[in-house]
Amino acid sequence: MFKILKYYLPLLLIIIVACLRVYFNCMGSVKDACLEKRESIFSDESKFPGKQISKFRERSINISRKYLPSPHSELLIGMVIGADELEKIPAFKEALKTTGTIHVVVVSGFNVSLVASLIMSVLGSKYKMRNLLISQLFTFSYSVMTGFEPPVIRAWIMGGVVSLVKYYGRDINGFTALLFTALVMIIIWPYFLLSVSFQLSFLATLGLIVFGNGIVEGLRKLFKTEAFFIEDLGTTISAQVFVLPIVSYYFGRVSIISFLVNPLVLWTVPIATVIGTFFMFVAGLSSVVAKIMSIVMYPFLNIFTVVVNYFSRFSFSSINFVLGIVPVIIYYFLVILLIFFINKKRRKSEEK
Amino acid sequence: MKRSDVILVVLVYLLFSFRGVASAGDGYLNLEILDVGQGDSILITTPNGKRVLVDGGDNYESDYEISKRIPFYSCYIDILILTHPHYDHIVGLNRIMQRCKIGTIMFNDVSFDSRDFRLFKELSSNFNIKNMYAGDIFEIDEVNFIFLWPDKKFLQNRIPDLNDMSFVFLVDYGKFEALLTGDATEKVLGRLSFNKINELTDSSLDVLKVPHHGSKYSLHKYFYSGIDPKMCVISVGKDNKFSHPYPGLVEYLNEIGCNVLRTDESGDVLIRVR
Repeated sequence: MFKILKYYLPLLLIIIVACLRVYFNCMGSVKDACLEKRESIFSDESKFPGKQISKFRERSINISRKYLPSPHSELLIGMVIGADELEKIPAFKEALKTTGTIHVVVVSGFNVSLVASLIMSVLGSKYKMRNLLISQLFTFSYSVMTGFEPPVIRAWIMGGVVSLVKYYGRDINGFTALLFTALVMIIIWPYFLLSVSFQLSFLATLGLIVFGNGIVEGLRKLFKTEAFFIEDLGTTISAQVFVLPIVSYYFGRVSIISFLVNPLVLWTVPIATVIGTFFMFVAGLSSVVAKIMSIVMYPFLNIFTVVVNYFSRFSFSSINFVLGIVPVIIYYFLVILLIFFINKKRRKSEEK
Repeated sequence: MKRSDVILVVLVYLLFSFRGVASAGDGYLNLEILDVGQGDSILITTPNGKRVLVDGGDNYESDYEISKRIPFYSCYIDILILTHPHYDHIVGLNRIMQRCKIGTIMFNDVSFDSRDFRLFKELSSNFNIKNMYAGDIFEIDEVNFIFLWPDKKFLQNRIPDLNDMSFVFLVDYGKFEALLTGDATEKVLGRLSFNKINELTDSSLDVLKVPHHGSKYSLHKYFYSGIDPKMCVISVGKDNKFSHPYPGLVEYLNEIGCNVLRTDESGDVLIRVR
């Protein structure tokens, strides 16, 4: 008992602090202040550093638009720097919503991990404190450039926590790291608890941690193939388990074909993001190289665009479906129960 | 990744690489009224593949449509026409000018200030600019563009309604004629001579691009019955806040025997002429 308490006591304390922060900042008479839409200090274009970040983003948008047509350019700048320029391409925005692929056009934890792994591949060992700090600094700079939105902050803190724990030779499971990250974020910014993008990011990651491996393995056995899109299908399903009710609650519309469209297009995203990131830097130096890179990159963006547009045309692609708060709570309660029983069963079979 | 996966990826990649490459002329005059929502954008491709783009809509949809037809890495548009500087005609053109080379840009400058128009003038300064007035004609690949409005004199006055300065011109290719009217108002239609139009069209106008998305302020019964169009195309957005097109106008066009097509119902409207 003492051992368990010793292990969980720090986490328990953090939970208590987070609850107090939320209570004093988001309950009662101050509730409205918590619901206000806030701009991060990195978005204030009138002063440093928002002004410089805004210029960088503007430059990236112009570069993308100079070499690529719409909506490919908007897709790329969404993937690489998280700039939301979808208002200018309303039909494509609608297609993204209908096919449940709009998450691609925002910078997410995936981008942060991509930057971190690129830096680590240059620096070498991840078990050196100097490399860890440099990597964290670069990913922080990248996160700031992308607007420092909740999904990116989550990925940056979580990545840092996991790296640091591993550096000290300890092990940490994904769930604990995610929970710790979420609590830290709520302690610093209590209003994040009510932010839709925070909730979606947290729940999608939770789904991946809890069900990711199991579902991917199950699908591989079911379809008897190791094909790359099986992994994308598995991750889509596991993320959706937790995300769907919230999407229904907030947006009142659920995509039926997201399970089909995501595996068909998700593989293009890392390729386009990596080429696109280099493209943004190179385009300012050489227009010839930028043109060549745009030609190489375009088919990946085009596959995404064409597939999304094609599947969005079907009338059954999405349905209007609003879940109330009570069914949402019941749903999550049942999912947690399911996880509990799965874990119990797994432990029993491991003991045998 | 397994070898079969790599082959699959490469094949799909190559398949999507050649979109828009086969973009030369097909021997037909193609007049495409693009579905860009609540706005106007018309792409004319001559039999030998020269391109004239009239307006760009209020978003970037026209750029997407252009990229389907012209390879994105060598985008060239021979003539770009801005009928008048309202946002629902100009935004898409600004986007296209950011990445495409343009032969000549045709528009008339007026004392109207908007962010989009300022950007348009800034971007167009990189290209050859031509002002067009009633009576001007240009020919490209045996397709004639005959300008009927606005008068040079009219533009010298103060223009309270920008729609009044909208280009109105005839696209004439052999026996085919289409009248493109931008957002011309009832007042402008009243000043146009349908006798002159009938003379140019041999009393048989094939296509009328209905002015101003079918607004009731563009309903001029005398003019429409005078030019007697066979096909009337209304460029209009689905469930738009202006309630365009005006039902009375659609009813009247049907009454005079015009086959009415709407972009909100039919999507892109393509007219091909041999």
